[in-house]
Amino acid sequence: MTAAAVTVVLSVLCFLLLDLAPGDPARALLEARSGGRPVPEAAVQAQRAAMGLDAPLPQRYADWLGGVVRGDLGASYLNGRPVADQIADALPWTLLLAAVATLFSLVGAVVVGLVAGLSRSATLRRAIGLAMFVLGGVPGFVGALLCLFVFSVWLGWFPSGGLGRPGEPMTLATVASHVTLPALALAFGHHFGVYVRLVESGVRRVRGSAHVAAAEVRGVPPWAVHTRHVLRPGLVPFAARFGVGVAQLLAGAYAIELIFAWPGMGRLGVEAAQGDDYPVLVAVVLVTGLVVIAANLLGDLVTARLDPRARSVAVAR
Amino acid sequence: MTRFRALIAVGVALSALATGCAAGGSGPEDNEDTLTYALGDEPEAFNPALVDEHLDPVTEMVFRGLTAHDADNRVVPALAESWEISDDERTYTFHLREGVTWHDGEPFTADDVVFTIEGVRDGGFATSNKYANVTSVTAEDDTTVVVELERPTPALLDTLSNGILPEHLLADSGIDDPAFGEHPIGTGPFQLDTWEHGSYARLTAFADYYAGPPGLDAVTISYVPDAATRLIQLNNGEIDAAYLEPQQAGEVEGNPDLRLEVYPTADYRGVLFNMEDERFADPALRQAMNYAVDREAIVESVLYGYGTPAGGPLDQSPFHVEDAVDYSFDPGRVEEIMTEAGYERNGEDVWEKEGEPVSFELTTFAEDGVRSAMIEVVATQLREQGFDVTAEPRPRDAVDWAGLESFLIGWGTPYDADSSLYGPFHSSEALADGGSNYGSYANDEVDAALEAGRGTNDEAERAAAYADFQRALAEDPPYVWLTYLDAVNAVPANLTGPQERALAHHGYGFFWNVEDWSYSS
Repeated sequence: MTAAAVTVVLSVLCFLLLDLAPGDPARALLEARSGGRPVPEAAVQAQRAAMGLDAPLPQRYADWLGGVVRGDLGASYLNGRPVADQIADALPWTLLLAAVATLFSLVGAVVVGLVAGLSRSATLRRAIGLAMFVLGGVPGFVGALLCLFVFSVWLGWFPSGGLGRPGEPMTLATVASHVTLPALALAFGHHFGVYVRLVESGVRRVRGSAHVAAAEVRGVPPWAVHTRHVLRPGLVPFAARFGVGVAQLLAGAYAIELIFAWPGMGRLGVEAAQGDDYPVLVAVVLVTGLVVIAANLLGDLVTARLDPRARSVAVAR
Repeated sequence: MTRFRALIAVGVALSALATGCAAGGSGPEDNEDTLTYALGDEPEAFNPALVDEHLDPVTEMVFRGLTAHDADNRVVPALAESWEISDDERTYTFHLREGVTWHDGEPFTADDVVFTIEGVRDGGFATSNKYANVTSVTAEDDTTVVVELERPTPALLDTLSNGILPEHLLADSGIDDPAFGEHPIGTGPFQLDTWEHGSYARLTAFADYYAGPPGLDAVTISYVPDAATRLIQLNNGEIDAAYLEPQQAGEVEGNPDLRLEVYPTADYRGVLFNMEDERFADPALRQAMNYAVDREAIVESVLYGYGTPAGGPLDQSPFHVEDAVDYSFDPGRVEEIMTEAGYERNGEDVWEKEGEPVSFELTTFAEDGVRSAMIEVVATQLREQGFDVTAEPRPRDAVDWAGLESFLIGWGTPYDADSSLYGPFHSSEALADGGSNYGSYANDEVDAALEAGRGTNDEAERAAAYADFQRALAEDPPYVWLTYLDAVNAVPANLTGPQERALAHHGYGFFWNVEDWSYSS
């Protein structure tokens, strides 16, 4: 029910905003076909008619919604391909990129956050704080280009983009090597500092508490104290924040995918926006919205696992 | 706890795996001769009925027209072996090559030609007007096609260099069938093998190509939207060849594995004025501005030397006349013309007439980095000569043609002169009438010369008409002519075959003789 309401609101907003924004799918299509040169107005009008863009906005929206209800996302204005096919081609790559990036930022945040939270050295803590501050201030595309220059151009460790050399068989190894750099650039963007801060403050809050002292007194080895008694409850605010983090990650993926020639949703969405391709853009926005909702749900579930007190809250939602 | 440690272990393992197998990256050496070429823009379909004049490399490789162009842009036979033109220039009889087959093995026949010409003419496409003069097209037999024209149409043989489409696949679904645009079948030297949207299109050699199998086994066109990434991939060896922006060419010069192929193009840039705006009515003002720009400096600073100064729209055409005008940079002439026309410098050293300073905005498509840089330089040069010009790039979608003052525009063709002149400069093609004359330029002499130029196939008559056209244009310049762009491409050093030719567009047309390409060792 909520998902249906979100779908309607998002799609109405998409259609309205696209209609208000300057730009015309027919003109975008013809200019692309003429190598970027302007196209005569008469040809644009004929193309608009051929694409069914002459109909008023409410009617175009109603047609689209009717299709969605029947399970048909429509066809792209630009290439006539079914939108569902294009999403099916692009979504797995974005999910893979986002999953690997999440893994990187998760591991990184736990390690750095744990060090910062447990360390007694004020200098180290301040250094980490400063590093996170700087990372948080670097725009995603700058970080991505830096990654490219360091790891691909200087060191030559990773290929710079795409999914492998076109035409060659795609193996797990080539995919892994191609996903690493964009995932790195994505993982250590703006939200990474927030993750680290969440782990650090969670750990700091827990480490002085009675159950940790009790465990130490019982003679539990330090590593076990740090993981079982400090880290696990320390991760609660971090897990609760996960859904928001995924939303930011997906937003970042839009720029990253273009730079690394990654054939995912971001690239599909940006190209649809440039081409005023309503059906594709609306579908990209909707599917992105659904992924964020799913990530929020996942965050809630993990929070409930980590913190028994949150279970009742999670269920009550 | 154990779950977390497992997660960390997986993460570390994955990173190690990724790092371990990443170096090198190119995998086993394959034994086929493949060329991987990267460019930015991916078309929405591979269909020559929809694309303008050879602008997409895949379409260019998959399809062939009745005619083609040689290295000097002269029309030569392709699918048509020969043709006759009647004395009144209104009946063309084409004799088709025998034994040509489509990529699916079906024979190519006269019916395919009839289907293509009629389908494009009646399809309501942006390309349809090219066949507007065709009154009938008939297949006399399997290898003879007769085209009847309403009036002489000298550009017809050029137009017929665009790809012919297979009737047997499109008769039912229509000539613009999206499914066909996805899996095109042509008669060209390469056939489409795979198209991974957003990644690449892979083509393999067509062994039954009428002129013999091509030298390369496969060509892959890789779509890499970001220009900086393209350069990195090229220098890393992830791709073999690429289209380059002018400022990137220097980064390739030191690489022993690569060679630059720099071709001239007919793709020019000029400043268009909105002639509906009274302030631009005086031809003297536009003449003066033509003397006020230093074209060599623009080529050096914006194009890094990869271009040539433009004196008009026909510099790359056989109809070009040298004596029409010489608009070389000449501040003295600017002073002379402006003073003679009744302008004087005001307190801010800006030309003015009757208290009205010459002050206007110059805009262009902001998405095009070269154009955006060019308007900055042009505006600065014009300001130095007393014209108060402000450069303001605008996104494509925000360009208001009727409301703008001046615009950095680009046109030009190395093929028939008519196809790139009539639209931009004839008064009947004005913006308000839905045409390409975006500045609403109108000059009776120009109109008459353009009509004479498209009215006959006679080379001498056409040369005279286009000479008149260029002289009329020199007197009453619609644009401030700036530069022609070069097409800059990097290819493997051991690739032989690419041959220089004046191309239609700075970004496309490089694959015109791809069937002759091969690796030398």
